[in-house]
Amino acid sequence: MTADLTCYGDLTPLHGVVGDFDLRSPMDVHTWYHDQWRSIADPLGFTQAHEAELSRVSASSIDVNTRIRASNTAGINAFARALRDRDDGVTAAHARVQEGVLRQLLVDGQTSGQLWRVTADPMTVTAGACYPDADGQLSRAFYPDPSPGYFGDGWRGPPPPAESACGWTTPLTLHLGTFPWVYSTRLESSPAALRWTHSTLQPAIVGMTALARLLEPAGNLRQDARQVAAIYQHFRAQTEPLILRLPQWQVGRAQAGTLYSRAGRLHVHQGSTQIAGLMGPRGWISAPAYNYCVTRFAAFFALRRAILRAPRHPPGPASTRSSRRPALLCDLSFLDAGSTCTSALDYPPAMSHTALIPALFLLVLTACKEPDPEPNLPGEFGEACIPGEAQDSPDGCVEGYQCETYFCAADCLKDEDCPAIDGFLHTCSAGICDIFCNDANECPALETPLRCRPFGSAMLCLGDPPEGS
Amino acid sequence: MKISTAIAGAAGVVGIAGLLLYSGRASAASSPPGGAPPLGGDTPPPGGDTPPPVGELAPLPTAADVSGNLTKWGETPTDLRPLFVLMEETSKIAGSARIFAVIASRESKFDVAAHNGDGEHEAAERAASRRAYDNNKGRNPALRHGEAAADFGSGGLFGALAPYFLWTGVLELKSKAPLLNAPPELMFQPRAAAFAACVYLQRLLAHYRIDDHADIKAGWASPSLLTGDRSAKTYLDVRARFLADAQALGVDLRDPTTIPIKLSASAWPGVSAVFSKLVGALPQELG
Repeated sequence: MTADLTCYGDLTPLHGVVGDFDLRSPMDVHTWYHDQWRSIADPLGFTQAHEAELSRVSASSIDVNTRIRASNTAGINAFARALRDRDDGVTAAHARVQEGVLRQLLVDGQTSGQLWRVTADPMTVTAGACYPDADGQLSRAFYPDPSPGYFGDGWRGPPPPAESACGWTTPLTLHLGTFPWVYSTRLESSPAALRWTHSTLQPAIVGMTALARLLEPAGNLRQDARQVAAIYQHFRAQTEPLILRLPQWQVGRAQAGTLYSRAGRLHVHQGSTQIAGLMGPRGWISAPAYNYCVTRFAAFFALRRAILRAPRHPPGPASTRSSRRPALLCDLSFLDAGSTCTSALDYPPAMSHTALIPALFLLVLTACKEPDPEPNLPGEFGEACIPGEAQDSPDGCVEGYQCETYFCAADCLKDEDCPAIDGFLHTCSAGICDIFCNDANECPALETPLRCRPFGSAMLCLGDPPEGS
Repeated sequence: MKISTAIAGAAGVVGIAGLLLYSGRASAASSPPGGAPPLGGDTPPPGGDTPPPVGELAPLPTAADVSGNLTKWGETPTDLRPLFVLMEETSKIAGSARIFAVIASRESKFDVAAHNGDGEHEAAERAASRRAYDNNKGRNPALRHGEAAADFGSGGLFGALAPYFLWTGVLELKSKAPLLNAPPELMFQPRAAAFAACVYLQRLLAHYRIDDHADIKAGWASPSLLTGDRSAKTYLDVRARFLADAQALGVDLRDPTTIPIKLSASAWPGVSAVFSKLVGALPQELG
């Protein structure tokens, strides 16, 4: 059965943008992730730094999951290096608040499965999302972005229950799935969030970390795909009429400097896409922003399809489905992609999702549930797990921990959140606690055996897949 | 005869009379080239209905094609940075990449198809290219598309006047200069425009008094600005605009890690080598 994700609406325009791949094939994974990071690095100007980072990690990759994490770490590191060459875009005070808010939204977004678009009451985040400007006045740390735009029809309310010190009257809304194009109404060629940098702090790195999370199988599964689909369908509805008016690029017939539609993306023949774009009812959308966003949407669903096709990666037995994982409900019809216990779950097209979901649950439960010989409980710190499994599911981790390289690692916002391990450095990196090897390249004795291995430029203690898997 | 006078005299023959006039004419680039037609307008024809372009060259270089640093470029389009770096690496004029970027920001706003001379109010531009052609055709090898070039005006990434663009390299290669048979529209191919710009910069650096980076832009506007009164308003205005352009673009002209204090063309590899690396072989119909 093909995991075509049709329940998310028509995604066919995305198929030609990012190709499918086999999550079980190390070569496929290497190529696909390399291409994805190139599609991020090229328009943002850190291609060279990315290639340099990647050359250091490719030889050290072990299994597919480690390879994926290494690819993403290389991408984030390269982005950080390139940011250092940029002038300050914000003040230190501004950056401090932005970073605090973004770290909080990163964790909240992952927990809620709504990381692509995070929405928060500004009063509940760091400093009320306000920072003191040069005159000592409090200003908003982010653009409010309340108007109808390319990602939605605006987020006007409800207003914050308490009065904001810096004038927030709408929720704080950021589209981290298309970072650094995070605002629905600001899709110019130079993305606003690239300016989230200061010589002392680089909040933009947290934004890029969120994007990278969505490129991990576990992070992809944790994201509610319905949210992504809804944003994509809105984006498509707003841009498709504009795209249809463009000529199609054809080999040997294109004119230099002319904007074309080419394989689902915008293309300026022999010229720069960065000075091109489309003007529509929702305002100007630059060609780089369009291409970047459509690629991110396509990559999200390509990865979701790859996960559902790969036997080791589809979500665990249906009985473990949690209501906190709405992202998977729509995908239930594809669960048999890696299973041997059911056949295709066909359903009439007119059947509503409301009716369909309980029916699917029932069907899958009936068809798939097998007796468990031993109780299998969600893992706590250091215990074994399977990446991609649901939180609090038998093969996943308990709340507050994430399955990283087959063991449950602690969630964190700062280093102090990482439990002390005698003799080992245990620090917070992009929302997860990393255990560093000691000077003798040893790892602590946890429930799951860990091995010391290179990870980017660091030596980390990483887990291995269970034997026989 | 002073050397500068001699060069200026020769320069007129080979097209060093200014790639562009100093008015900063980039009217064709004043609106983004890729904007979709306004809603409600005529639907554009499918790509297949347009005539095939003449002289299709290799695509723009990418980051993989160059070794120079692609950061510290301000707002220079990321997809054009490799071209500017390739120009620097090919011409062996260290630091020239970002100078080319600043020049392109003024002359074309980075639109490779910027064309000054096809508009109703661009008669001055057409007059300039006509004058360039008429004044020099007797001394230079014939251009296959000479009349078209004379009526073309200027354009491309670096705002070249069409006849001078097509005569690029004539001083070194005489009748074997590579663009003599090409149509002026070839300047819309960024690699061809880059070739002409490299040759032009080399000639400015090698034969004129260039005191600082802003002088390059003065010479780009017209070499006569470099040989005349350097307190003249036009000279000073061109320089001021260049410095403002660099600042607006975010290119730091005083960063010695990216741009030496003075550029030098002492390692210039020759017109043929530059053409070969930037453009390669011309399509048969142009060769």
